[in-house]
Amino acid sequence: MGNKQTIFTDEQLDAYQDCTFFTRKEILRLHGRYHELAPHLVPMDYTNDPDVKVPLSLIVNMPELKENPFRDRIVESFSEDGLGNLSFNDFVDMFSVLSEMAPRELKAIYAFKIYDFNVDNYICKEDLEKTLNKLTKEELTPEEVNLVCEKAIEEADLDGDSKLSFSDFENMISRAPDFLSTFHIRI
Amino acid sequence: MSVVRETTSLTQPLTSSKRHKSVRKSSRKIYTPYQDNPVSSDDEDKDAERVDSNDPEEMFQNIQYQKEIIANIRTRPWPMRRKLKVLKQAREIVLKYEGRLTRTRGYQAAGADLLKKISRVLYNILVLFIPWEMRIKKIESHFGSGVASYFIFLRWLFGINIVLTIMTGAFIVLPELLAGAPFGTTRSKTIPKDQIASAQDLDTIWSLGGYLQYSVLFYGYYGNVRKIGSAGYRLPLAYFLVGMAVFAYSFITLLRKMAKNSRLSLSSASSENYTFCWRIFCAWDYLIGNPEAAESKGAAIVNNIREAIVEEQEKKKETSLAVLISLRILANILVLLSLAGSIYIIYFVVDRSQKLEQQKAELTLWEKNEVSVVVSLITMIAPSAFELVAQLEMYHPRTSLRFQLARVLVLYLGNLYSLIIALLDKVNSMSSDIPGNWSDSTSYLATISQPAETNVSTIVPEITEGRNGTFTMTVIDLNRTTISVKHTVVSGPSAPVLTGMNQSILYEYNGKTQQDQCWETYVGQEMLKLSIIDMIFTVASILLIDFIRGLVVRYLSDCCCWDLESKFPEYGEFKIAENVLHLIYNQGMIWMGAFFSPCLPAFNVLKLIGLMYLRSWAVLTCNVPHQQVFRASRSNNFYLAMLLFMLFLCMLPTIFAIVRYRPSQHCGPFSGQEKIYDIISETIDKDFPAWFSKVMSYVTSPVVVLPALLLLFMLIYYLQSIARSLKFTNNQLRMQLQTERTEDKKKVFQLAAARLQPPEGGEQKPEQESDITSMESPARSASPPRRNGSVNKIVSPGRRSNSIRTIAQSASRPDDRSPSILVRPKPSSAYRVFGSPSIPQREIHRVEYIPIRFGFLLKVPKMQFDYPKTY
Repeated sequence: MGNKQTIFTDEQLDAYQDCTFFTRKEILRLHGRYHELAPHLVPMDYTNDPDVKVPLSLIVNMPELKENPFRDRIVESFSEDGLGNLSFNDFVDMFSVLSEMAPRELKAIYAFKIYDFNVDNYICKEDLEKTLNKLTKEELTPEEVNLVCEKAIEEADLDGDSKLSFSDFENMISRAPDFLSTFHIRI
Repeated sequence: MSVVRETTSLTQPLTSSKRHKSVRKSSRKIYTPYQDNPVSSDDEDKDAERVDSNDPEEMFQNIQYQKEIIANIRTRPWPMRRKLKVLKQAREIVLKYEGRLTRTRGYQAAGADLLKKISRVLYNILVLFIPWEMRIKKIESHFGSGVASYFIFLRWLFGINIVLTIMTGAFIVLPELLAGAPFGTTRSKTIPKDQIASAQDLDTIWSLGGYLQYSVLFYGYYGNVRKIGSAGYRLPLAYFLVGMAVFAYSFITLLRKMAKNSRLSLSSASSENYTFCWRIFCAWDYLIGNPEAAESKGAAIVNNIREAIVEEQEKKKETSLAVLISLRILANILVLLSLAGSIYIIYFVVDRSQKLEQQKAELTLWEKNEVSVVVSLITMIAPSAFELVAQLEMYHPRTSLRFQLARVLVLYLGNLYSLIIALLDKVNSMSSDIPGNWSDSTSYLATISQPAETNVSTIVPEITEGRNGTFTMTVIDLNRTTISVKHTVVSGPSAPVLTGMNQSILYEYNGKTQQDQCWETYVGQEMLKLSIIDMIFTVASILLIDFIRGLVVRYLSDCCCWDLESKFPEYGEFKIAENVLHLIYNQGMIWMGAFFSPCLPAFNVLKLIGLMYLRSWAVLTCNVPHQQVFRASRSNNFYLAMLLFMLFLCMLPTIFAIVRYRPSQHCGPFSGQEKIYDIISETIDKDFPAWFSKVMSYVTSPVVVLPALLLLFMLIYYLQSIARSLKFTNNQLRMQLQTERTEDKKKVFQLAAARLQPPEGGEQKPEQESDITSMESPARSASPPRRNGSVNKIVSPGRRSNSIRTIAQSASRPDDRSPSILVRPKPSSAYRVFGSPSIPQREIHRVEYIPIRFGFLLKVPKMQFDYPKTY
């Protein structure tokens, strides 16, 4: 595969395979996709770890993410600077967590980050409202949104602080039958 | 500051329990320049560089620990950059120290490394061979995980069928083709004279007669010679064993897959007390990448949430119960009637075809295919009828879907069963058609077959015109006159002409019945025919119902008075559940017929490939997603359970036929035997040493079998009771968790209340804490705490004056409760722990700290996480 042009050294590929749930081929494909996003920015040769970041606006336009109502949040939560600029490492990380093989616990951690819009480590009512509005494209009336948010917090909040901490969230999501199959992007 | 503390305390608990031993042992610690990295390099990084002692035990532990890091690094929620760094460090350490321990350990490590590399390469190669990955991905992105689950299921079935095909192909079909007697040499491999003229006609071929009937496709073609070829391949034995292995393999793969799935799905608590949360957080299918699908998914989510709101507002709807009940009863009666009707029709058709065959010499195309066409028609039409009926019932959509599935499954099973029963009935009447009665002729046959067999081999090559082996003729003719038998056998080699004459006379008499007597071939033919017709109907329905309808709706909606797209015909929906059921039905057909037609799995492989392409094309071009999406994750095991049920029920008729009926006398690998399974005992008798058959006879005697059965029952009972008790414990633990949670809630409130009254000064703090301790102690006394390793690790070095000492608690305390974290450590140490100078800040920390600890109570301690960390 690497005969034509070395994108990664074998060592790098090995390291990526250790750190993600991908195979060699998938990592190369991911690089291809990453390269496609910004051909002038991203070099083909990654053997010396260039420090390149692709801005959020480009990543969000990937077909895999384009229709996702939470696309901005996804990209932001995986970026190291929190602004949505993804290096290739972050990019691989994102799809590794969203891959089929990632365990539920790992997915739950990142799902929490995604739904935590204001990054205060709690999903508060505000976050829930945002989630709901993005999900339904603001088709619900404010009263309905209010009701649903209250109900949701009532269900999952265990410590009575009327917002969901990570443990509340994890407890709730670990019982959800669909979580694993829906929190999943195939690349 | 707070960030640092939280992170360390969170990443701590799991590794710390492993680590603290070594830490305690070596009081001297060597720190590296890494530690002055501000946040990102916390204890993990330091740890990686830590131990540099020569104590082999310690080194070994360190290496083990590093290896654990390497193995689990992918499940840690760190950014990739850090993962890569930690990985590199861990690898370096392992490399550096591993060789130092002992030479053997070094070699072991190298071996393990090599093994890992090889397995990775193999996995990389294996992944290349998973078919249709991109196709499924595309479908997923259009329709979400529900529709894709159908295709994944299809692919999985395809895999199973490939294995089945290889099994039958390699062990039955190929040996027969390579080493068996070639076409036309024996009676069972020759087309009878009166049929040879029409053997190549299209309608004969179409109804699997003629050349196809006398080919490796069917049971009847296989020879009964015990060993074939120069290597002495035991074809009949292989045939039997492979026939059984097909079932065994299917069972094992199915059960393994189910076990794997159920482990994966983490047995979610069935009590749905998270309706709203799930509808918010798990509603969106991240796979969707198509605007239309996204739109419909959004609409579905809105509906779903509204539905939940309505359900919440009026917990139960009021409808006139009497009307509803009578409607449901009516619906069930209708369904039952149509089930009974379909079964009757099938039975009637089989019966009719049998009578027609007896009366007429030449059957029309319709008459030949009547049975399978009728069965396929019923399988196509009845589900839609059931759906109409289900609308009467007014169940909740999910319930009605379940009812629908159950009904369709019963229908399919009923169809297959009535078909096979009717066929076996026919088989029965076939065997009674044979002139003379069996008991007489067989006893005679036993005496004559020995000498005759020796002759056959010499006779066969000489007869060129008649082709049919004399021996087979004589056997059938046994009941007429014994003299004629002997005459034929003896005269065979000497006077071929005479034999030919003799043959032709006998042949006309016996010809028809003889050919028909191969009931196994007949069953195999029917099954294959059914499978083919089913395929045709599926293709036709996809083309007609989905494609044409799609075209009409798409292009005629402009010139029609109502909106075709949203009103009447609409676009076809992809009904996941029914399509999956159809796949299951199809597979059931294969299992049922595989013993009688070894090429059936191969045919099914082709069929599945075709279906895959056609369906995915149709779905992408002319279907819209089903409104009522059947949950993929849960349904996976549901599909498999149905498949297992199907497998079991399809195995029964085959087993029944094998056990109950006598194999045909003139065709197939078991001809001449009393029962098909006699091949096993025969092989054991002849080809194994004497002691083995003795052992076998002991093993199969009631003396052994009965106790073994008893033992099995006892084992089942024992495992069952264990499972029950585990379930009980599980429930109790869950209850305990729940009560602890509520207790915790109370405590948090108390704590918050206590905090609300501002303390006068720093000195008062310990007092208050001891207050809480005493408040809590009655609860504690019920379950005495195990306080192992509450102080594990001092993270920051003492010599750095500005760092905070952090004391983390080990997660190994099962009854660890959050308030106790605050309270448990001796007041003085607690003071040191949270010893930041300002008191208000401390309070904030504690309140923040509480909920996070819950995670450890609830989760399986598999991985560490340090979620609330800001990068």
